[in-house]
Amino acid sequence: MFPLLCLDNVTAGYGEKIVIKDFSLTVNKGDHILLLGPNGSGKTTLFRLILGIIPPLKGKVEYPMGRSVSYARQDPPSSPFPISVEEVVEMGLWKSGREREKTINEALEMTDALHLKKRLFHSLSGGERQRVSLSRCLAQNSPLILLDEPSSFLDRESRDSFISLMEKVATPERAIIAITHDSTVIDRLGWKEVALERRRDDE
Amino acid sequence: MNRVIMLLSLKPILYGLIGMLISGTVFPICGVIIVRNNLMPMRYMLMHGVILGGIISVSFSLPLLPITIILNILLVLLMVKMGKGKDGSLGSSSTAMMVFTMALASLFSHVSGVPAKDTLEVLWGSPFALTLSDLYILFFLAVMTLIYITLFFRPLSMIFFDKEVAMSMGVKVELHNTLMLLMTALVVSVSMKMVGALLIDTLVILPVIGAGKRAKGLKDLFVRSSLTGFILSLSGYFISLYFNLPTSGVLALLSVGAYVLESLAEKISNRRIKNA
Repeated sequence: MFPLLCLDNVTAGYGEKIVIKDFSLTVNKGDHILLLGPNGSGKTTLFRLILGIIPPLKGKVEYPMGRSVSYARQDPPSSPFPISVEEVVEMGLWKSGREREKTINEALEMTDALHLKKRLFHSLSGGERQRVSLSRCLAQNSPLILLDEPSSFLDRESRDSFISLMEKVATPERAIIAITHDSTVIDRLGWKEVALERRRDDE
Repeated sequence: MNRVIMLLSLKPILYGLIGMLISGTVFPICGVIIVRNNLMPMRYMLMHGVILGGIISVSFSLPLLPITIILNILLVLLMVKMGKGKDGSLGSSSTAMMVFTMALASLFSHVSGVPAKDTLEVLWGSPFALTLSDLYILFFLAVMTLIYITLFFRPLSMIFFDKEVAMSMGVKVELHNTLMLLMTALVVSVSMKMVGALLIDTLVILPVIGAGKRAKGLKDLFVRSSLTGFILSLSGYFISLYFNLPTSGVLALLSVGAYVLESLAEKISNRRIKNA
């Protein structure tokens, strides 16, 4: 057991509004988790907490092996600003020269997106953007990857192929937490499920 | 041609050329930041900051450039302090600061007895009015801009791509946002003296929008914008000298021409892809 992330009785929210209360979770190396729950139950807030974007109001967030998390959001940005696929994948890299090139190529190859390398990110389809975002996470080589509803904007064919991709990258070397509402994803992946409940305002 | 060479032996003409080349090459880099971060409304606030600076400078016989730079830095810091609106942009606070600056300019002009029309000269700008100390400021600003973009290219590309992803990778997004705003304030202040408020977009914004149509990535956008700015400022300056025309007007016309050409090239390229 190599714990990567320990959430100990955390409470989180925005200002007065508490979204998650007294939530605990330990994620070990090789854990593959599906985070389930209705809208407003705090799934994305939990990700923001893990990523350090918001601090916990109570409790502790610990990374026993150091904080190294990569994250792909639900709707990768699609504004028509010229950033190439290659530049997106290299964002999390601190390498240069041939090593950089090799890592980018390997990460894109793993998601079958190498042919997109020279394309502009905003010109890609939803499925292609998800693949490239996953490549960026893989290139970062973090032991923990967070995926926020990766299949939500995909058509059936793209979703099936993305599920196969998730199966492929879910190796014992890395932990993945994926938020999903998609029953096909839940059934096909068969990963451990963690559910969040929506809190009532009077709780 | 001999006339142009002879003119270049005059200090104001030579300083103007050096100023145009530095700003034409480096300011479009800042234009990328303005376009990407949607800082268009903020530049109006900064332009009004320069008008206020003009009134203060005339009233107290102080040098224009340092005064406008200090004023615009203060305006940016005040705007950041006021915070973002519900839409996450600085549009509301920059509008409030713009009105505040106009009010101050109007009151100051009345109290100090400086005729408003004297300060409106600032709106037109002139590269020939650059002094040696202005050139030092310009050179320093250009070097700082280049160092900042080169050293922090990766975190900046993350912020341009997606602020949340950048934060997840440990990038200090708020700090970089403030630095980018300050850099914009400096560039607008200096550009006002070079080409004037009415034509500031010529030097800072249009080269970026034009280059963005055909750029193959972020690095490519920086290089193309910079190259476009360099060619425009060099050619604009020499054409204006040769035909004895105002530099800002010639430069603006060339800039719009370059933009139209880029748009046409984009349309042709899209049509070719569609037909292939």
